[in-house]
Amino acid sequence: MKKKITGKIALILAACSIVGLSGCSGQSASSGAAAGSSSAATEYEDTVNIGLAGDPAYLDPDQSSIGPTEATVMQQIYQGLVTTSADSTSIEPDLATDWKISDDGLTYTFNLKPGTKFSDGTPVKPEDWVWSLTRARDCDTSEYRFIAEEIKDVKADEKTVTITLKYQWAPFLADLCNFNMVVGCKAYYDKVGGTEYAQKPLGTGPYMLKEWVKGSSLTLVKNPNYAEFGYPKTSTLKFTVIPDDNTRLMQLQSGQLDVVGDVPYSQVDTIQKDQNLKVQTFKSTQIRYLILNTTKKPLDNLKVRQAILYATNKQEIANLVATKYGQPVASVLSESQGKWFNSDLKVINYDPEKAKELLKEAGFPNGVTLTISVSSGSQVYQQIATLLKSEWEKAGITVNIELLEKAALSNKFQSLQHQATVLQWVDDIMDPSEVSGWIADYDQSHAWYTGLKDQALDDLNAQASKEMDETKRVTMYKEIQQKISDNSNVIPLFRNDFVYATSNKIQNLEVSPFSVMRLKDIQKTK
Amino acid sequence: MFKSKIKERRLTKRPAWLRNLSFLTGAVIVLFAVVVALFPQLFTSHDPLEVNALAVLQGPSGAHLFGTDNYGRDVFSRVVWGTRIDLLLGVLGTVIPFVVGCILGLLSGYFSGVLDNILMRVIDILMAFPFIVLVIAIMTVLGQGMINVYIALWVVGWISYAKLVRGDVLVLKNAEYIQAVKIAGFKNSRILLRHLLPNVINAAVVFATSDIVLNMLTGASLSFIGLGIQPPTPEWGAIMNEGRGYINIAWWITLFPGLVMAVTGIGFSLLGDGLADFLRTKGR
Amino acid sequence: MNRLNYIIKRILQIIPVLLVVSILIFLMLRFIPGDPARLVLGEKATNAEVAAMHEKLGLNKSLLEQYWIYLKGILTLNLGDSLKYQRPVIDLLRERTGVTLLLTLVSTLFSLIVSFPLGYFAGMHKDRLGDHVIRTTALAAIAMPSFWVGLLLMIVFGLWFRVLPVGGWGATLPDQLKCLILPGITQSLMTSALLIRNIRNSVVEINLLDYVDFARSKGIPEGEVKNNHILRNAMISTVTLLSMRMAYMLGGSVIIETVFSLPGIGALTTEAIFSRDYSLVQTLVFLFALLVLIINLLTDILYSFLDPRVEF
Repeated sequence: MKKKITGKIALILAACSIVGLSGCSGQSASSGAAAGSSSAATEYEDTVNIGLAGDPAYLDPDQSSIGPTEATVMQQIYQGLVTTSADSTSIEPDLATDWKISDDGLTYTFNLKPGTKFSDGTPVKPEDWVWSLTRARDCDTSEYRFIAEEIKDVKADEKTVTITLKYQWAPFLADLCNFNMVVGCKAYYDKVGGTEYAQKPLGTGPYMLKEWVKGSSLTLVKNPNYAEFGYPKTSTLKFTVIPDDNTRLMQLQSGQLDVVGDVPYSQVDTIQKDQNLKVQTFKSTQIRYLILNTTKKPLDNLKVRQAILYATNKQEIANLVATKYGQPVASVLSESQGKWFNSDLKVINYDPEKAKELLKEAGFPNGVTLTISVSSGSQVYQQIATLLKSEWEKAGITVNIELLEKAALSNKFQSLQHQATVLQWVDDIMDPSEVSGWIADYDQSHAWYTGLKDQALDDLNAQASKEMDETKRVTMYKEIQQKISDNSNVIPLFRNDFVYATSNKIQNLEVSPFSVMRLKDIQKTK
Repeated sequence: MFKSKIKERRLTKRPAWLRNLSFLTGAVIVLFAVVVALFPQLFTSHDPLEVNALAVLQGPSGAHLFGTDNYGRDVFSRVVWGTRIDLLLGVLGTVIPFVVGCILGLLSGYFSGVLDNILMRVIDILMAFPFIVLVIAIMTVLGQGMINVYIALWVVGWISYAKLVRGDVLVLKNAEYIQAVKIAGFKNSRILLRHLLPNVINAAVVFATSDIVLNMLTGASLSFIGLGIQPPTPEWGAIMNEGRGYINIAWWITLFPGLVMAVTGIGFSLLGDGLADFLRTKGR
Repeated sequence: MNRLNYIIKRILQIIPVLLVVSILIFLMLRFIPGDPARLVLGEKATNAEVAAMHEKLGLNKSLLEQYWIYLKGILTLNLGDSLKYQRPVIDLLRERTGVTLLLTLVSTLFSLIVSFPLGYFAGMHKDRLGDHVIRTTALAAIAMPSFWVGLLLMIVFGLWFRVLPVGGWGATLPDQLKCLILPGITQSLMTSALLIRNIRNSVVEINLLDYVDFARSKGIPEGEVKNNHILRNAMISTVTLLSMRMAYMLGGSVIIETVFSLPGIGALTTEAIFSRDYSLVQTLVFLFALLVLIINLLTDILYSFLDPRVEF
């Protein structure tokens, strides 16, 4: 329900690669051999070097503005009760073994795995669960505390955790998979205090933090107390902070890094030509949207918004911005969400003539003039705006592009001062409620900064988030997608895959549709 | 006068055409750039803004001399049309600071006293900010756009001239021949204009020619940080920056505007050198 | 006035400058659009939450009061917490300032090593082949954007020859120095070129000046003329230029550190400006100003040694 231009945050583990040249299919030695090593017994490196787009501000799940870098590192250190399955279609036990939901849908009882310890050897105590989950809801620095806002009460004993909800909340299990619903050590927090807690995390996950050279690198080593035997496969992960996409890629090419994400699509060919490297793509929930502010003329007119829909060549934008990894989309919800996705919605073909007609019907026979405000930080937005300008102008819509740095832009659209902008969304959880609430629930974001009040849609969304019958719920969300599409205030442009580039020797890299790396299986052959 | 005799000997040592070679080469380059800036349509038939999805990232060819960019736009015509913007950026960004800075530097260096003190404090304050940091700060306050880039350059630009000229004046005003004309009772204005200015202006002119280039570079750097001119304006720095993401597969987008910028820069610098030579001979 | 008094006077002059600088930074920051509380709280924040954050950050106080807190913070080194990093600003400075200083130092060193011999050589051999080669190369070096050069250098030395790291920062000093070679070269390129031009032109100009002729005519040996007069005078304008360039390069770290992913205060500054991290920005820019003023002070002191004719 949250997520601005930098969006992309996180859920938990999981998600298998759908393409991947060789790795990712299994964990057996044979796939290792296929990946290049010809010796009989495959030997593996102790360390895998991973590029990180920024220095984490802190490693405390309950701090403000957590981005992909923080989430990525924290996911290796912390664990929650449940997690998303590797194929991200279902929810699996993590520190819980199984769970029971009461008939009224308000009480969840989780049976715990016995003997779980933090990486320093301290056993996880019942009070840790109570403290962590309550803190996730109440900590006033946490930007993600809305994820836990349905929690009324947490109780725990040595064997179980019992959570009571304030109201029925269908996506609760999915919420529990989010990166902030993890267990931390209360005694440790009390001892070291909040500041150090955020710098020296203590969790139960596969890795623990060994060294953090600020602004430069983080070294994670195997947690000796990790519950799952034989994991993690690689004893040391070194995250190196390289903010620039190009520099990061060059470090991969020069062998300084083994794994690099956010690969610019244009660079994919170069990497594929390099014999030491391979490209892996992962299904994502990342979609870019055109946001039309309906409180500003002439965008208050539905016909004008429809004209814009016809004047927008989604296919061209997808192809030019994300090459073969992008595909035009019609629904605001990502196809990667599976059953929730409304496949009846079809992408409208580019038709500038039809757009002109619609404009004429709307009372603008001479066309209209619009300003698209986009973030100057990323080339993708400038690209999209430039393409929109050239496409729309063929339909009689004159476009000014206004580049604003991120902070100034958010200021503008949050106060509904803009006309049109381009934003993105990446889901954090395996559920449609997040993006749907963000657009349909007017109070959350003025309908994603479009200022469109649609009470019927708002009500339907509220109902869907409480519906416990999954079939009915699916129907509701399909209808929500249809309604948003009819309103044409938030126009989804294209979805793209996550593209990673790795050394040929890397095996079993997994990235979730929510943009988080799962690294306990990763290995690098010698 | 044996002094001028020595000078004459040294100046006549090399032929006239060689002496003016720098100036000539520079003038030709700059003149050409100016013509391109004034009449870009004479040099290219492509529209610098036209997007063509069918001709994306094509290498240099007869149809597209500098290839095409990620939108399928013709890089050559973007560079040609960009000449106007970058020349304006360089020249307009320099002329005003040059005039203001030289006058202030001359006056404060010569008269010292209160004026000098005030000026030096203002300079101290502005100089205390590193150039780029100050430009970035001003751009963040004003927001992006061509005019704002100028304002940022003006606010910061004049300092270098004032400081350079003042430093030279401080040294020169104690030189024997200036002391001599002072004692001879020449008016201050005459000393300033006829004796000091010609001697100190050279360094400022040489610096101004680099400053033109520097201002173009600053424009490019602003694009790099994301605070530059609004797209899709074809500005050289913006073109280079757009090509940055494609450097491995489409080097032409980044390389050519960089080279053109370098050649233009060399042109201005040669012109400045020639001019400095010319002023030096004429000054005495 | 003797030199010591002059130095003391210069140091005292810095204080009001710093004061004005701090006011300027403070005001400029308040004019930048974008509310830090909203940025840190995210888009879902209610007005009440924003107001609470304003109170927590002290943004609801009067400007005068806010400025006083800022000023007091600088004087007592109690600089507050970074909004984005939720850590004391002083810790962030401690971690990152060294990188930028080292980068500036390495770049300055590179430029000095390159420019003095080349500039002097070109000046003394005016209009011969060597002069032309050096000058043209210098001209080209001036006109190339640093991020462009940095990119090319990374490709050539990092990817083709693989002799130097492509950006990033090392854990040990030798590693770190290795990481600074390419950024240092990139950063020093324009400075070297400007210095070469300046030294050459000074040498040429001073060669033509009357007092050199006069010295010659008095029968002072050629070598002594060059050393005492030419070089010394060439030094004066060069020192001015170099100090300006050092300040420029300090600021240039904003770009270079971004290109080469160095964890210095340059990259941190843009990051802080973009995230409206007020306490961090106002400290960082103040630090930049302080460093520049120190460079200028040292320059002026050096100046007084080089040219005794400068009036104190």
